[in-house]
Amino acid sequence: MLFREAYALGLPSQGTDVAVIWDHLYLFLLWLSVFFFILVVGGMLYFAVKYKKSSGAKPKYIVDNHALELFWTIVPTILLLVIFGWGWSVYKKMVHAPTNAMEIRVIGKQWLWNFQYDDGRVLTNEVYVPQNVPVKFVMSSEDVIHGFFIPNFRVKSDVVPGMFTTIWFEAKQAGEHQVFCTEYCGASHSLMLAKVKVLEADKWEAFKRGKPVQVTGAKPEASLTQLSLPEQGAKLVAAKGCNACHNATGDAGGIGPTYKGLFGHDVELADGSTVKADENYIRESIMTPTAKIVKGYNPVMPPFQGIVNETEMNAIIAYIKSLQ
Amino acid sequence: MAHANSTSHGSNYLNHEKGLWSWLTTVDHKRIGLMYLATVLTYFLVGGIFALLIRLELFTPGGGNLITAQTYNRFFTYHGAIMVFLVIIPAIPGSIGNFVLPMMVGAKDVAFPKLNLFSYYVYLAGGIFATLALFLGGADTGWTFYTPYSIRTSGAVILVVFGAFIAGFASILTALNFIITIHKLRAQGQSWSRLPLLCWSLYATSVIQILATPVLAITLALLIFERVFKIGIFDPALGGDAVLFQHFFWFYSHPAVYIMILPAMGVISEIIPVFSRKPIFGYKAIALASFGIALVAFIVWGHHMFVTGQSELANFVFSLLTMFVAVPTGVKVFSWVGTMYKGSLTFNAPMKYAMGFIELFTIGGLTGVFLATLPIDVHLTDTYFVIAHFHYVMVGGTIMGFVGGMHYWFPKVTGKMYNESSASVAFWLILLGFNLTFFPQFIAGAQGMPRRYWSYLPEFTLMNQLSTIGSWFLAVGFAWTAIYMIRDARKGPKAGDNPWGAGTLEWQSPSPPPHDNFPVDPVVTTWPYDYRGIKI
Ligand code: HEC
Ligand SMILES: [Cu+2]
Ligand SMILES: [Cu+2]
Repeated sequence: MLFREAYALGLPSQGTDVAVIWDHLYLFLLWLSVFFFILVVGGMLYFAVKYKKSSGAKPKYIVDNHALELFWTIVPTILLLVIFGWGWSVYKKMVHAPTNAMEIRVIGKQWLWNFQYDDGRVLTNEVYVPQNVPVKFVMSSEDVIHGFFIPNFRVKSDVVPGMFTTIWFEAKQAGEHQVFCTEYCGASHSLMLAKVKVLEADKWEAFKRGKPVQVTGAKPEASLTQLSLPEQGAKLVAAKGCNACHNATGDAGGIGPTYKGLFGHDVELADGSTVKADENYIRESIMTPTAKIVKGYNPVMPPFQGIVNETEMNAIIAYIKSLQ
Repeated sequence: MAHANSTSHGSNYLNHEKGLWSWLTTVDHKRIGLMYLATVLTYFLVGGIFALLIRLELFTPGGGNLITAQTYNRFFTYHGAIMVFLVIIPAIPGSIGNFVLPMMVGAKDVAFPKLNLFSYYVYLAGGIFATLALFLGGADTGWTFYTPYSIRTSGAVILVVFGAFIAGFASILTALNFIITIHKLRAQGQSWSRLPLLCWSLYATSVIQILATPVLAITLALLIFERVFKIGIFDPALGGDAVLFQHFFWFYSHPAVYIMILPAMGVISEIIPVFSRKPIFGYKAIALASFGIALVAFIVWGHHMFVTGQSELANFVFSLLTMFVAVPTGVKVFSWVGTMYKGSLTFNAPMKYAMGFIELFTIGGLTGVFLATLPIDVHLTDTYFVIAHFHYVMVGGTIMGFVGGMHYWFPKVTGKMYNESSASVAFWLILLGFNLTFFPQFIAGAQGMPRRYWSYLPEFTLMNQLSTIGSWFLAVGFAWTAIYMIRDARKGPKAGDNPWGAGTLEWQSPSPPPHDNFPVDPVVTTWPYDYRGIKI
């Protein structure tokens, strides 16, 4: 491991076998580049010292040397073809999912990721997958182009409206793996994050039965029931992707209004009327956001009808209430 | 010449006619070159300020320490659009090319002087449109204007796009002028094999500009139509194809990469032999390589789209073809280093910049091979690795060539000599600052940090802070360059006609040159890289 750390110059951890062969190719290119860099820049500096005028160097009239020029045309060509061939063999492993791969559908929308399982469950910004089982993500977008990137697995694909794209991986490391949106998609692009949570076989079975699971290596989480209601709400707004547009800091610069100081106060609406922010207003704002649009904001909030259940709704409202 | 009979004319192009009006209406290629230079540098300053603000925001991981996400997105859009369309593309052809190319071929002016002035104003108009957008709602699409985001987002996207559209016509007109000038106005005795390499590379650049820029124009026009009339071209919600835009866009913008770098390669090819006192090594190979690069440039655009859902076959072909870009590029770099072998080297500022170019461009080129390799690109694309790569090529390459060229022709343009030790300080600041700014971005990118991120995870903090600190060194280096160049253009010691002992024709004319460039029409008897008969 130490060996790898020293040579890999900060590459992310190797979550899959593809990541391992990817790293071999990357490190080959890296050291080949170091070699050529030393050859060219080292050569240049050597000449700079050796042939500097102040040390009395007299120029020699040389115009060209066809053999040498042929050499430095042909050798790089061969090397590049080798790199291409090696690259192609890795690429095929990277993109060809085994036919038995488990499918999960991924939907990107400004600015969250939804994961749709065969059993109908939809998770937001987190996806549980089994360890050592090939998994295929079939991805599409509801609005603009996004990019789905898991650095630890060395896979990435754009997520394009109007078509499906896929990635696949077979995770070797149980635990959490970061997901980034990599195609610029607007204001909260850099907050459009998610986690792939890889579960060992027994935990995966528990997950399928709807039981809560503790992800290996993740900070031991207090299970939801051990938290106070506002604390549960705080976790939920992070997990449901609300924080891509809202904040609790009172900062007015976001896509949506801040939660701070909302509850119990009057809200000015786009049509000029005002409304008091009580429980029902907040419920409506979350379930059917377009019903009342807050003044100065665009109607871009997605409806959470069917995504936020009653228990969760109460927790979220309690959380917003607590932010006075 | 119509004005030869007027008596009030000074002895050189700078005092030939006086007053602001005489500059604004001039058809003298040298003055037009200087007008381009002033405009390009103004935009460089503006684009640079946006870059500094971006880096400042990224000094700490969470977003919003300095600016909101929306402001940040506007800033990187302005930075990219200004630097690409208004600085790097016109920089060398517009300023150095306009000033030097006609003189290098021994002509009195470009083939169509009035068209030349017109193209400057077209460029200026493009810039003004794009700048207006800053005040009329802004744009947050990134310089790439990817659809469907660019169709749906609010703001003055149309103005920015229209600015880039207009600026494109300026490059087409300049390109036409250069090609015809090279074909028709070469001095007696200047056969093709005696044409200076800067002219060759500007020729190759011009060919790309004429062939590729119309595609950009059409693409941007379609984008404007779609935004205004809601015709479905690129937005799936209207029945269009989101990825089609990227094909069109990169069909122009990949060749545009060579529009940006080839002129700088030309400048380097002039500087290195002069300061080595030795012929350029492999003249023919370098000239040919420019055209090899120009040709391959048109058939590799798909390497920007390896993860867009493009077919595997397309990825195979584009990756393979892209590999071949590295071959002629390598030939050039090896030839420059080969020129220094058994030379008699001096290290004035132009040579320092040429060597800096080789260092940075080599890194830029080698990391390009990473990105050409299919699976490697899958991980690295849209991360900071790509940002670092193209800054090494565009800034480390083009801007180093541009600044090197500004020092090299400084005595010819101004008649004065810049101060060598001032230039040395600036060079080291820029070189170190550049590497400090951009090298850490390779590492952040390999670690997985995506580009266009206003807020990033804590594990990327160190690399981002190094990068931000580097950006201040760069800023000081460039600011200092501006200061001493203005100072020395006014008060510097008088430069001779040919202070570097160069062999190209512009140095046979007085410094600064007379209005008509040459007191007597030059006749070429040798090729320009034989220094045996030239005394310094
Ligand atoms: C895509 C961005 C976005 C996301 C994601 C989002 N919202 Fe919103 N939200 C907005 C915007 C914009 C408004 C203001 C316009 C409106 O009223 O629809 C808003 C309004 C609200 C309001 C009313 C606020 C007020 O000041 O009156 C509440 C409450 C709210 N959102 C809660 C949530 C919760 C809870 C979630 C997550 C389950 C969420 N939002 C997800 C953008 C978003
Ligand atoms: Cu995004
Ligand atoms: Cu390209």
